[in-house]
Amino acid sequence: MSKSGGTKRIVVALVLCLLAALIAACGGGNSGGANPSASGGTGPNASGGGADTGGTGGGSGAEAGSGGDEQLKGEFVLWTWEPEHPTALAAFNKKYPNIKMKRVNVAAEDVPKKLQTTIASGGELPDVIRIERGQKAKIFDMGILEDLSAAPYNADTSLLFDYDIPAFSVDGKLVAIPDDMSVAGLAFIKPLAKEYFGTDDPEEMEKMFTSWDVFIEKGKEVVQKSGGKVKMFPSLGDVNDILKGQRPEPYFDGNKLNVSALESVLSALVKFRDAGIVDKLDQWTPAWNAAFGGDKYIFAECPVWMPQYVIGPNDKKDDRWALMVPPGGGIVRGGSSHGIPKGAKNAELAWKWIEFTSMSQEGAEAQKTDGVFTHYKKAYEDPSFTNWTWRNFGSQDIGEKFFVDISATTKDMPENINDTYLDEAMSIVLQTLAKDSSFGLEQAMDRIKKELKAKAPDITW
Amino acid sequence: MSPALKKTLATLAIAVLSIFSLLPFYIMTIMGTYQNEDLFTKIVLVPGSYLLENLKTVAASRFDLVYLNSLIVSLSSTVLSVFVSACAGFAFAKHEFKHKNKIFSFVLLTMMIPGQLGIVAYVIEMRYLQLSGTLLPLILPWVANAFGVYWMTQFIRSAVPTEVLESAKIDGCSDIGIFFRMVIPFIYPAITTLSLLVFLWSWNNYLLPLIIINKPELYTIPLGITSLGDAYRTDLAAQILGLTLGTLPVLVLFAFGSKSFIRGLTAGSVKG
Repeated sequence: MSKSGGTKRIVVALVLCLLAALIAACGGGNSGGANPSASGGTGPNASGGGADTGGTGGGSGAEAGSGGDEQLKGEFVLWTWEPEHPTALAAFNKKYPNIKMKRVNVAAEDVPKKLQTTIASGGELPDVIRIERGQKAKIFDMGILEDLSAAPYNADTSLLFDYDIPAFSVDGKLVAIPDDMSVAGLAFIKPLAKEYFGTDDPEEMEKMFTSWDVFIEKGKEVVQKSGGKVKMFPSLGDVNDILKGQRPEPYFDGNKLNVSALESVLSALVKFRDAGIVDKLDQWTPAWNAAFGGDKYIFAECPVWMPQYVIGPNDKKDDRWALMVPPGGGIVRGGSSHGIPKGAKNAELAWKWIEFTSMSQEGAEAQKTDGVFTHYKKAYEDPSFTNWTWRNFGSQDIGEKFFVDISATTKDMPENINDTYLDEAMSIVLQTLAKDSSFGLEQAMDRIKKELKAKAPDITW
Repeated sequence: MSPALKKTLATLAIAVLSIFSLLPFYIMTIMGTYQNEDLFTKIVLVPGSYLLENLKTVAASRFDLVYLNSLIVSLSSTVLSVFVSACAGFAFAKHEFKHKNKIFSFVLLTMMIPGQLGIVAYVIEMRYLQLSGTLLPLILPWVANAFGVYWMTQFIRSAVPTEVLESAKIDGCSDIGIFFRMVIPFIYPAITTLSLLVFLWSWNNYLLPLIIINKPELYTIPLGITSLGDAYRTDLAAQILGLTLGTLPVLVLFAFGSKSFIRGLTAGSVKG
C-alpha cells in the first residue's frame, strides 16, 4: 500500500482515537448473564377484613399516624426489587401529598454490588434501600447505613418487637427497620398427626412436643409404625433453618466463630439424620414442593409467607394443615427491611416513608391490605388486626398463632458478613449430611473449617 | 461398518445432541405458559394455560419501552463497533505506520484486563461527561472493542489481497473509497460474525446497566426482566416469558446470518 502523508495521518488519528476509547472503556463492555432475582414472596394476602382505623400507636409511630404534613416536599429514591405496595403508597401520599417516591428496580442479590460501585464511583446513593434478609449482613457490614435511633430520625424502638432490635442493629445502632413479618412456626398435616399422635389440635401438639428430643423420639415411632413410609420432615435443610433460628447465641462475635453454638446445631442435625426421621430432599426442588401436597411428611417449617406461596400452590386440598409453636419457640425466616444510606439527599422524606409504613397504625393497616404484616407491635394488640385464615388451614386463625403465640416465643440473632460465608459452607455440609450416613459432626466441622478458611481467612475459632 | 450404517449412526447422534441442545429452550418457552407457582411442582413439558396472564404481566411492565431501549443500545453498539473495528483492522492489516506493532500489542493487552477492573473508573468518567442519565454509557464501550479490532485485523490480513487494493489505488481510488468499495465486500463474513457477537453481548449485558442505569425508563431487557412480578412476589413465569421474548431478536439475527457467521468463524481453517 502507498504511504501518503494524508493517509498516514488519518490512520494514526483513527488508531489514537481507538486507543483512547479502549483505555476509557475497557471496563465497561463485559457481558454478564442476566441473573434475574428469585427472591421469594414477602407476605400473605390477608384474608381477614379491613382492620380498625384509629391511632393506637405511640411515640414516633403515633406521630406518623396522626395528621398529614404538606410542608414536606420532594422526591425520594427507593432501591427495591418489589413493585411498591399500592395501598400503603396511596395512604402515604394522602398523608404526605407532596412527597413522591421514585422506585429504582434492583434485584435483591444485586443491591450490595450496585451499592459498592455507586460508592466507589462517587455516584448518587438512593435515599432508602430495601434490604433482603440474605443480603442484610453484607450491607450492614459496609457501614454505610444511618443510625435510625439517633437524630434526626429518633426511631422509637419500643414500637417494634423486642427481637427486632438486635437483629437490625450494628454496634448498638439501629440501622434498618424491618418491613414485613417473617416469623416462622411449625405447620403439620392434620390427618397424619391424628393418625400417629392421636390429636390434630395445635395446642395439644405443643404440649406433646416439649423439646426436640421428644420430637425425635416421636418421630422414630412414626417411622416404625408406618414402616418407613412417613417421616417428620422432607429435608434436613428445613431442620437446619429451625435449629439455626433457635441457636442460643450468634454464630459470630466479629471474626470469632462461636464453635459451641455451631457444634450444638450440627450435632442436633446429625441426631435428626441418624434417627431416620428426615428425608433426603433438597429444599426448593420440585420434589420438595410436591411434598406439601402429599402425605409422606407430617411437619413443615412455616414462615408467614409459606401458606400463600408454598403450601397453597402445592396443596389443592383445603383444611388439611394446622400451625403450632415449634419446640424451642418461633424463628425468623426471610423478610426484608429498609435502611437509609449515609449522605442520602432526601433522607428526611425517605424516613417518613419508613416511619409511616413500618411504625404506625395507619401504615400497618394499609400494608395489611397489601398483604404485608408489619413489625409495628401495637397493631397486634387488636385481635381483629391479627385475624387471618387461609384455606389450607381451615378455620384456624393462623394470624393469631403467628403474631401472638409464635411471635411471643421468637428470637432473632444479629449476623455479620461471616454468617454469609457460613451459610454457603453449611449448604454443602447439609447435602453431604443428608446423603452420607457416615458423615458425622467431626467431619462436618472439618469441612466447614476448610470452606471458611478458603472464603474468609480472617475467621478465628 | 457400511457407509449407510455410519450415516444413520451419525444422524442419530446429531439428533440426540440436538434434543439435548433444544430441550432447555423448549422448556423455557413452555414455562412461560404456566402460573409461577406451578413451576415448582413439576417439570413442565406441555403448554399451560397461563400464557395470556403472563403476557399481561409482561406488557404491564412497559416491556415495549425496555425492548426499544435494548434495540437502540444493541443496534447502535453493533453498527459502531463493527465500523470502528473494521477501520482499525484495515489500518493494522494493510497500512504501515510508526509503532504499529506496539500499538497493536497494546490493543491485545486490553483484552487481557478483566472488564470489572475498569468499571468504576468508567462510571466516574460517564458521570464527569454528564452522560449517566442516557443510554450512551451502554453503547460507548462497544465502540472500542479490542476483540473486534483483533478479529477484523486478522480477517482482513488473510482475506483481502494487497494486490487488489494496490490496483484500486493505481486506478485513483481514495483510501476511504478503497475501504468501502474493496475491503468491505471481502469481509462480509467477518462483519456478520462480529455483528452477531456484539449484538448478543450487548443484548445480554447485565452488569453495566445494573450499575449505571438509575432510571426505569432507561432499563434494558436484562434489568426489565428482573422487575417483572405482581405486587408481592417475583413472578418467575413472567420473567421466563420475558426471557423468551428477549431471545427472539437474537434467534432471528442468527437465522438470517448463520451462514456468514459460520463462514466467519471457520475462515482460514483448512480441511484435514
